[in-house]
Amino acid sequence: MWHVTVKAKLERSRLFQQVELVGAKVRAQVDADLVLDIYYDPTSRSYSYALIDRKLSEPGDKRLFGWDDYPHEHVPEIRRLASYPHHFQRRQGAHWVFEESPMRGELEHDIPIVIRYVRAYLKKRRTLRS
Amino acid sequence: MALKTKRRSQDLEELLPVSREELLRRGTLSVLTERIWHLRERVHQLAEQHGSLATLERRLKAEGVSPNDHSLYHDWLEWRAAQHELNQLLEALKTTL
Repeated sequence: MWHVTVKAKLERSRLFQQVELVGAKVRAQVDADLVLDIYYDPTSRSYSYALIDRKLSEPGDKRLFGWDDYPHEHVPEIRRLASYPHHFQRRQGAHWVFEESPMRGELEHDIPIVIRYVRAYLKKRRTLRS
Repeated sequence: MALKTKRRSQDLEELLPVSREELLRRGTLSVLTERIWHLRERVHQLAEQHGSLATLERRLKAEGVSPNDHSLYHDWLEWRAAQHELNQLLEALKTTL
């Protein structure tokens, strides 16, 4: 099952306090506020991988950044990307920055990229805080 | 016979969200039925929230998803994943009984 592979890879990264199955998604906890959510439909290979900050005051799903393949038909910045519908989005102040994504809904390929990005993000966050 | 049992045990390890040790300790049937129960519970919650998967798909098509909030898309992904896993586990349960 897809989540067995994902859970093992996330646990091996040693980035997370806890990695668990919540319903049919994988949730990896960085700390009390930060979680990485992995949604994946193995039949269509559609996906959403996102780092969530529950303390964010902005409305919506509180993602800091994430990759998914939802087409967002009404967002021209996403439609213009060469990797469309695959895209990466990250917060920059009150706005979103949309970028091309290397993800393809292949977990063996995608999850190591997610781990590398989250690791770099956490390192940068720690540096900025110290 | 021993080889066949070992193979089936490996197949189940790939299906179920527990370690080999836990599978041995708790027993295959217990782990399988617990996971099936959790997935059915989640599908039930999603059905209470959205009606049916087809209704959710129609809503997704009609409303779309904003980059600010992927909740509808996440529910669709999770519902499809749960349904896929349930089918596989129910098949595994048939061969276990």
